[in-house]
Amino acid sequence: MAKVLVADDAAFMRLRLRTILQQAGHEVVEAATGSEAVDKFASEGPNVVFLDITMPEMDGMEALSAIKRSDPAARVVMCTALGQQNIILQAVKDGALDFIVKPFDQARVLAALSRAVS
Amino acid sequence: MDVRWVNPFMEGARDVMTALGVTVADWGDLSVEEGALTSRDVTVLLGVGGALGGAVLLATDGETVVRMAAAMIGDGVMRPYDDELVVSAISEFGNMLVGRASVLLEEQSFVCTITPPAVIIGRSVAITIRPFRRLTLPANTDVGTVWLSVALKAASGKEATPSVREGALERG
Repeated sequence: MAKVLVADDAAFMRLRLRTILQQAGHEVVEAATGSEAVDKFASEGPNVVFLDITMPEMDGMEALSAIKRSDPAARVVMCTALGQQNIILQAVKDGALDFIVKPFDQARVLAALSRAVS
Repeated sequence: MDVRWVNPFMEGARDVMTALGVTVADWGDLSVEEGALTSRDVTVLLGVGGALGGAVLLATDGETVVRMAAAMIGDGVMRPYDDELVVSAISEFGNMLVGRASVLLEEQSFVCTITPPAVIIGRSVAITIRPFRRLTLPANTDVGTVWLSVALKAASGKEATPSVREGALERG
């Protein structure tokens, strides 16, 4: 079982991801901003991070860079809405392992997690 | 406004609802609305810019939005319709729907930008999207009815002709 950091400013999205992940037996830590995600990554040491792109204070791209600077081996999956494909390409160049497009289903989330931890 | 602008949003609504566990049973009759007051308990307003200008609105009743949020979250919990989680869910629903529609519009060379959703709680709240008339279409779903309103014009101010098939106001 993995420890997963879920970073999204939308409370609904955090709860949906938490429900999916906890039902599959994983431990979940949450962050509502990019800067909180960076802090929680350092303090909680998650196996995988699900990182939304559009967040206040520090967006997902900036948070990705900060997390990868602190741990180049960090495993990060980007969460994106449709229409952000160009940003996703940049995120992959910056070190993201994978991405999931909202609205995502349980199978897609768990498959992305499985690939990230393998 | 060309009624065919409604198509990408209908398709977006159906795709997003299906992915979130809500089934669209059928679509009701198209109507034209011009009033500036909200007529349902919860209204989500998203601005559209770029090749098209205007707004998209989603409106529904409190009971429907509560059931919809429970289905979207997946935990079956019925929260008050002004609960932060319910508002967050319907807000994200609007975001995803218009995001999906914008991809479909981009495939037709109409590149649009979308503003973050604003959620309006309460009936008879004044909203200003004039001078655009809006086309409204009810989606009858397994959790209740959601009214989709589209008020768009080409950025030039002239009515644009979308490159969708003729007479393609699809239903079902």
